[in-house]
Amino acid sequence: MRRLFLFTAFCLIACSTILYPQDLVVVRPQEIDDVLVNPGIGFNTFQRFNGDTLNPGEGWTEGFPIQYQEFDGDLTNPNHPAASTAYFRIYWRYVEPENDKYNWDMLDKALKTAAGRGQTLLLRLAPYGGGKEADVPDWLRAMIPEDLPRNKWRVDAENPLYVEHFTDMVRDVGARYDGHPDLESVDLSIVGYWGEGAGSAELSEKTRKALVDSYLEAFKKTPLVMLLTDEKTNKYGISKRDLGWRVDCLGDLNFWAKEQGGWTHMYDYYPEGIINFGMQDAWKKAPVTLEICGTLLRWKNKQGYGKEDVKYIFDQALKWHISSFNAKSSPVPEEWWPLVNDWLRGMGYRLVLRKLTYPSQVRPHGKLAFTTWWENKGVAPCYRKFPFALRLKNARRTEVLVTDADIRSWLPGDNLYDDAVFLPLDMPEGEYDLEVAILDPYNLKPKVKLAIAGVGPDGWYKMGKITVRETLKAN
Amino acid sequence: MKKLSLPAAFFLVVFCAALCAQEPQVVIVRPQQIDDVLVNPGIGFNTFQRFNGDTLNPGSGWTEGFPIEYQEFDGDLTNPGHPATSTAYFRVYWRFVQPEKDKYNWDMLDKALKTAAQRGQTLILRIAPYGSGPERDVPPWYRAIVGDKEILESRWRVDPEDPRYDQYFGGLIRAMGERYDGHPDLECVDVSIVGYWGEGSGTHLLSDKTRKALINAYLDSFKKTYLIFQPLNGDAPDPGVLVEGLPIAASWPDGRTNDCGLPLRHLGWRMDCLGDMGFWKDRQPNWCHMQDVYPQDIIKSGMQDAWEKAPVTLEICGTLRSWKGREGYGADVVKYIFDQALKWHISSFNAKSSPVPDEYWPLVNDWLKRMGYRLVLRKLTYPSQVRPHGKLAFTTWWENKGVAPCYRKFPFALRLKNAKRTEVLVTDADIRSWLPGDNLYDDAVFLPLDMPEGEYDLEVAILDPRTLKPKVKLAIAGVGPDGWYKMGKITVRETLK
Repeated sequence: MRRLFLFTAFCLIACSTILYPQDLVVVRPQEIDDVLVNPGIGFNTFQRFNGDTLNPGEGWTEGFPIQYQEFDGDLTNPNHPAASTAYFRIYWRYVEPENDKYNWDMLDKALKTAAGRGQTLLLRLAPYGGGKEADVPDWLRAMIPEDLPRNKWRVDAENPLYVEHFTDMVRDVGARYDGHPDLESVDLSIVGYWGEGAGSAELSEKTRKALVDSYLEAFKKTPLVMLLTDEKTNKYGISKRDLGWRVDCLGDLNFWAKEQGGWTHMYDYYPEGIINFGMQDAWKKAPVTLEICGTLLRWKNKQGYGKEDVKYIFDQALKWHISSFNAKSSPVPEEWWPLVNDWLRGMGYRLVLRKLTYPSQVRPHGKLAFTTWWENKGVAPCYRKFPFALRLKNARRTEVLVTDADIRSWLPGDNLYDDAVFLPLDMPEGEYDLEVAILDPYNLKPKVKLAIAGVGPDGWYKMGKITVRETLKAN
Repeated sequence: MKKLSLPAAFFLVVFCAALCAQEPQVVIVRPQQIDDVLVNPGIGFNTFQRFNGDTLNPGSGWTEGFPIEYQEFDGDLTNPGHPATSTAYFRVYWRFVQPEKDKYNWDMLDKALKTAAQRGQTLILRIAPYGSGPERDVPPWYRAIVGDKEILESRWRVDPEDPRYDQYFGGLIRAMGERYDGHPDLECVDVSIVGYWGEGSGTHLLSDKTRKALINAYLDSFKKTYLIFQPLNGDAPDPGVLVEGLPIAASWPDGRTNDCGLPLRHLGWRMDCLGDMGFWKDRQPNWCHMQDVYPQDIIKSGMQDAWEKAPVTLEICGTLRSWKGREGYGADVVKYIFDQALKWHISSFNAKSSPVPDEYWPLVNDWLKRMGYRLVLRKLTYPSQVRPHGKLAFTTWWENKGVAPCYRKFPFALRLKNAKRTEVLVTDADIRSWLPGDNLYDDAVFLPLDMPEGEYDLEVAILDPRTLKPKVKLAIAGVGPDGWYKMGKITVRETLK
């Protein structure tokens, strides 16, 4: 009995490729446990890029032009996970220093630097922040005297001049960047300090629509991410388009609880806002990206969080289907690394090809039918339609065969994708390696890392051998 | 006043010359339209049981339903007496595809597909259950199973209500779908279920259960390859009943639609006997297909708008030779027939691989210029300069001078090319939505980060999705030897300091 069992176990490990009598090859790839850096998911760098030094101490800056650091060619981020996304938040005054004159170089450079560091850019254009140097553009201030109808506003959003000029800026930015392959998403930021949306609920319907519509019209290809602010604004936005959401202060278990009668983001704002504002299912079609309350160092030093607190916070974020996380480019405390790595394995998508079947032999011009079972072990789908492809490769010929799969529909859990590709007429006979990969649509090179073993140096995953042989008799 | 304006105008020019050298201009291109007959994927004449380069049927006759007799190919793809074609139509009886109960002759279909591809064609396929005459019966093994029984309808050879008919004939369709659905060189498949030559005689007599089972054999098996419905057999009092309860898009002038609660499939349609202005006038006076079947059945079957989503392909009544000879059609009659087919949004035409009479050629060529799609890029605008990693926004105005859209989503792309670099930038355009008339497609592509600075030729083309090589010919001048259309110059220059 024991001998039989051992043999069976051995076979399960070693004979991952089994040739069935009907010449159907069944491949069960071996799953891996590595942290994967994949497009659009995981930690963001903030006002920084892969390879830059982090913010010192517990502080950070935001809203101002990026202070570019000397790049030494090393993309690693000491004390911070490798990131596929860079988050840039900038005040309006820097984007449009004069009325209708834009500092495109600033945004071009951020996009270019991100791409050069293997990242895509998340962007927020905040109308203003707190403090004088974070005011609306000077030219707009000259038109609108300082008046503060409500806390966290610098100008009255109901003033038609604000609506006119802010939405003009959004449209002009959209005209230049909508659909840029290296622009990951844009925050739908309309009012309030840091563009966080304070006072959105009190906007008149006309103003709310004008502000939200400017983004919907300007960005038709690049995903938009709404600030989770209020029922009226969020429900209006999501009634028009599939939108993601974001909100600040992930990890607030007790930051201001004393002053606010026990109110916290984690126990009050998140669970209630996500449902009440109509965003609970938004993650199925557009990304959820969250921002830390303070920094991880502050969690540890000032708030006194232990591992169980951190794990609780991370698990809640997974429950809310987080795809990416802005830790404000502040370091990860050493003892929390295992928790961060576990979290990274759950964030966004994590695609495990559990099973592939294909015929051991196919003819030139013939059909290569395959079945696949994918397990998405993350908490969200991939929101970009990266093509899934097969490749037949030997010394003479390399043929990439792109499938029709829409990987955006591969939600967490099990997904089946059974389809077929056809070989070209001129496919030479012979033995080939059959490989799979999820590709960059622009260059058809592998883009998404899978959570399976067998990756080759060029990013394709080897599945097995396949023979191309003509069965059609010459005459 | 006049004196002042002159220096001002001069200043504007000088000022612009200084400034505009840096600022990208919008380049406006208005390509020159051409009048050539274009051979394009999926449209125009079909060859029938033959391929480009083969000899035609002699005389006024033709054969069909039998395995193709392959001709020696000398490398010359021209068809003397017949237009060049992009499609080959193959109609074969069940008995030849499934000669034994457990044996399919896939080689026959593989070879037809392969030969079509080698001759620059895609294949249109019908598997007919049977034809007329003893050599066109159902397979002998099936005849042995069901025996000879009295049949309800004169153009049936076996009883389709016998459950074994769906089991075996439907089974063949299912096996065929399994093997060929989505093949890039399979243009479309006829939904052929009953009747001589698979033409559908008596479909309206089928029980609901049988009709649905037989049609579903196609719907379930061919989900990617276009299906061509033949609801228009001329003998159904109400051809609309044929789609009832099936997920096939259909609509009628009174506003009714064929909504059965399932996601609808868009099927094309076909019909035989285009050009019958009175072929059988001795037997059926004052009745012909052109006046009494086509207009009525297209509307009554609910298929009037089907062409917007799937192809219409028509088959000639007789041959062009018999039009000229036996029927004595003059140029005016031929023009009438061709114009009616255009009105019905024809994409392709089976003239039964029979020659075009000399005097009909000008009409045929005019017809070919309208059949299916004919894309004229009327206007393109683009920036004279763009930065690496920057946006190349363009606007296009397309005139589709045909009578139908292109039903395949061939990608529309721009290309930047110079001695150092060739970069193909595929757009998101869905050319299937470019219906006859004007179409606008304004969009943008982004240059790669590593795009070298310099001057490039800007070119456009509609591509084969697998090879990314030009596939659809445009009705404009300026095509290069590799099929791309040159639009103008564009400069790639980094503006970022």
